[in-house]
Amino acid sequence: MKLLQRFDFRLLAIFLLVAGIVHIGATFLTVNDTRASAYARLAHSLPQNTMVITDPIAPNHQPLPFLAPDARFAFCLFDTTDTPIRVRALLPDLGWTIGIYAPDGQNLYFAAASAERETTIDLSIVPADDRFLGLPQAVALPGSTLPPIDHQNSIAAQKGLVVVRAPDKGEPYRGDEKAVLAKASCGSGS
Amino acid sequence: MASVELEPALSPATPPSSRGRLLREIFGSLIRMLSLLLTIALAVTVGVWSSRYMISRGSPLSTDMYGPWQHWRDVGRDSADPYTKAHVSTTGKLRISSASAGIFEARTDSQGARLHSSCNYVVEGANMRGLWWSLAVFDSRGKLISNDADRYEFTADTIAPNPNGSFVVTLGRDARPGNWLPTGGAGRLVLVLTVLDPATGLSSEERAERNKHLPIIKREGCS
Repeated sequence: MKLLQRFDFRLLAIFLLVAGIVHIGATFLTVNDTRASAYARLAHSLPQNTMVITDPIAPNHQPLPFLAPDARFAFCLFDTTDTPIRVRALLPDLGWTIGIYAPDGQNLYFAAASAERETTIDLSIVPADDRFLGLPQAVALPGSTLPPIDHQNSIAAQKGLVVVRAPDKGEPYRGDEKAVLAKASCGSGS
Repeated sequence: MASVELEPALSPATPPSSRGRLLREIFGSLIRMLSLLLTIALAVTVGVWSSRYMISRGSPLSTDMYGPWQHWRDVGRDSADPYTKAHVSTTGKLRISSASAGIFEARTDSQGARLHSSCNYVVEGANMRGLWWSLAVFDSRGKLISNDADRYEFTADTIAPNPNGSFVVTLGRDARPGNWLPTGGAGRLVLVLTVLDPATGLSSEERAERNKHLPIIKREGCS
């Protein structure tokens, strides 16, 4: 009881207040620090707006932590500042996926193949601000001979990463998987 | 030349008791100031440490535990909490959204002991009908563990399952028959189980059912 009387509760209040403020501040600072994100790590080695099939994941070639060699990957680092990006991929079997990620790691789009039928992905990524300009359903690319992009199949993002993932079924299938993965494309005029 | 007589801070006339009280007040103020500074320093340390811990290791605010398996509840989603967002952006993980896949990490066995390469483990999983999954082992920093067998993971396609569709994976330094993943020399281990949702998606009940039947991790022995 005497100990409680001598205890300075003002210090406890100050401790809790300062710790809480620092905790919240440190957390939000970290949220906005994307220097170590997957996008930032891959940005050094990938060209922009081009689909690149990476070498098989191995201990001496592991571009990202916790990236398993359970799949072969194709990456496309996109930037829609100058032009919308069109992404096409074929997902032939269970385990094949395509994901579009924002630089902070948020999943903007994801599709997985089903076991019953192959899935064809054809979508466009438009600058994020276009979404708020009241564009019509179909957007014609300026100076492009391509058919208009169906706005329902478009995603609004300024920068990010497209990841096509082909599950590794073992050595006999790797050639076929790579051939299908090579059909995936990402670019303004593709 | 006029002389200025400086009055001493404590005149000889000041009684000894007053002098003692003044010294005690000065000493008390110093102690209070020091306590305040120490409290603030401790609070800053605790604030930064707790933030970093909750971002790197998770907490019940952002993760669910299913036995030894930790699941970041809103990873990859727009609605993710700040800890989850910070976890993804600082670790460099490329995670499929929790709306499309279940990604589970285990740093301990089912008894709660840290996974370590000096021990052998058996991972027993149920039949995951129609779902594509993979089970990979990493060191504590997320690096693959080099081994001569070039084995780092098993998937629904590459595993040798039991007749009823369940599976057993062994982890250890020395080669073993069956689905063996080498872990020699890695130190602390992290197992990552990825289960893709079907193309048609999963309801929250189906997802909860899936999460009930995650593999168990048994330690066999350590050397």
